Amino acid sequence: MRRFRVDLHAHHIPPVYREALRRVGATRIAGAPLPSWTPPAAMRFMDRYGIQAQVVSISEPGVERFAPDDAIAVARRVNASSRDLVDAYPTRFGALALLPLADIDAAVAEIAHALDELGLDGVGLPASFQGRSIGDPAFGPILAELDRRGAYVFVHPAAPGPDDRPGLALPVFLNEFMFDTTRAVTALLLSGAFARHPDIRWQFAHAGAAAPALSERLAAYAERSGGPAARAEVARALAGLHYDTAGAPAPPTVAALREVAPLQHIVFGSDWPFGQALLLTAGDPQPELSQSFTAAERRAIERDHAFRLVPRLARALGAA
Amino acid sequence: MPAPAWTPEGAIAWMDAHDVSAQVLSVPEPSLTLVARRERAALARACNEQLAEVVRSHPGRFGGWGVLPVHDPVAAVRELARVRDLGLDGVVLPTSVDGVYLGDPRLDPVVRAIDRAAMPVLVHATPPPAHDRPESPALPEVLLEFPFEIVRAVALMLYASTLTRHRRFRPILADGGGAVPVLGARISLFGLEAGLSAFFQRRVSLPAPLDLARVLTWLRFDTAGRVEARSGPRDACAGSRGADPARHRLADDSGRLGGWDAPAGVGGQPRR
Repeated sequence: MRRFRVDLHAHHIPPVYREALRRVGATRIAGAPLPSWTPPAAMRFMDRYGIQAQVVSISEPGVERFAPDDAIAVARRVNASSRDLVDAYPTRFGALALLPLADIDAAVAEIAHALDELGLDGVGLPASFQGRSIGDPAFGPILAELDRRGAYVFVHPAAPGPDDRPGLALPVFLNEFMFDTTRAVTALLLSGAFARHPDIRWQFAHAGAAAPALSERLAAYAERSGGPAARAEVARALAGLHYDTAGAPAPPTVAALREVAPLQHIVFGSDWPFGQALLLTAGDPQPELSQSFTAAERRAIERDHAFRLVPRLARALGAA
Repeated sequence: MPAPAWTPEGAIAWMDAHDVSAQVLSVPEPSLTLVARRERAALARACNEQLAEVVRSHPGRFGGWGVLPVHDPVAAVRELARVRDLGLDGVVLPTSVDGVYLGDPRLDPVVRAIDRAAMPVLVHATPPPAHDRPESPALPEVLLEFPFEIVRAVALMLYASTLTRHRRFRPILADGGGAVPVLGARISLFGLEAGLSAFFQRRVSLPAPLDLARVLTWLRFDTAGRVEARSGPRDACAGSRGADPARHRLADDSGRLGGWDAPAGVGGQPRR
């Protein structure tokens, strides 16, 4: 199968990270066992689904389980391994930096290290970290640094802890993941963070979860305190974000997304290896997209739009 | 949020100004968790009697969703019989009560009794207890937690086969189903046994093999909170009986919308 897709929502679990998790006793992610991951397995997956390249990031639980000093060292090692991955397969992988969020100064320093010295393609951020929303002012210095660099930032949900959700007999990743992303978009929106950091190129996982569908609710709320200008800002900010299709190719989800975002801001994501469960046959990874998009639109979503976020990959693939 | 003023006359004036022929009324907090557990059965009884009186006094303008002390299924089933005797039109259920969600087997006796009586049901979000939601970001609970609550209850009902086991229990979801229209696809996607089993790397058995996406179409949705401008129930559930405008209007709990979630056009400050 011809490989043309560029996958902007995919994860890696490098040996240094798996080992660090094992040391702190973390063997399950959002209630599920940690899947296996190797570069050859990732490329076999890509070949099965016509994917030319993946931009990988660390998923759950990020650096949440590590002591602050340990987190700094783990992030440093993971980012070095990401650089090695991209060096080894420059046309098959891109990579996003992992930040040691428990220490704001160290996180800001790691942004410089990962982007300037390692040349990684952007930064991965969790929607919340240790129970605190990424929209919390405490993370302001990190966003300011990312804005200064015009960085590509991918926001992925984190599983809310047992104190931050009802004790339901449902997998945490099913709904609570989505709520985490929705809360992050809302917090960043209502705190003015999107407006304050206009040069960050944001991508939100899973089509922004419920944020696009609830945009009217958010706009009505914003308007109550800030008038029509605040309502307009909600629309403007949501239209400025990028959204990936991982786990979200269904027509109702896409319909909500298209109400708030231009086509050019929709990018393809597989969520591999976690999204494995949804891929039962080889070939088209998200056939449902064809219910919402023409063939030309699909091609743009599944390839071209990614290059605005990851220009290095565009150059490596001769698409720039 | 302070409870807004409400009188039958005020509600009728609002309806007359907005081409609304009738409203089916319910209490805004159907879990009754604002009062102690031992007081809820008496409160439900009193609410239902007053509601029946309002309906009787203004023929053709009001219907009523009775409220049940859901935390105590035995008392709730007893009150359900009284709701029928009072001639009310159906019952309003909270998404959860004291952390127990619709779909939980502990609430099955209530669902079974409603199913047997084939009574219309409105499911309304109730705020999750503060200890069950994050402190950050600090947002009003109705803004996001209400739409999330409806998703939790619907997901649990789907996975627990509540809707397939009770063929006449067909809830109307308040606030357009919250985030159900967009997250329903995800719920049904992961609801496949094969998908769940692969994810957990062990055999997962659901109570009954289902097409969950089809079960979602059995639900009905109201239009409160102005969902109509965005991806709504029609997208989620093509062919759903929830698309019946008459039913939407009857299910619209606009009388509740005196607070912030009454954006212009729905609540007391109409846009013209």
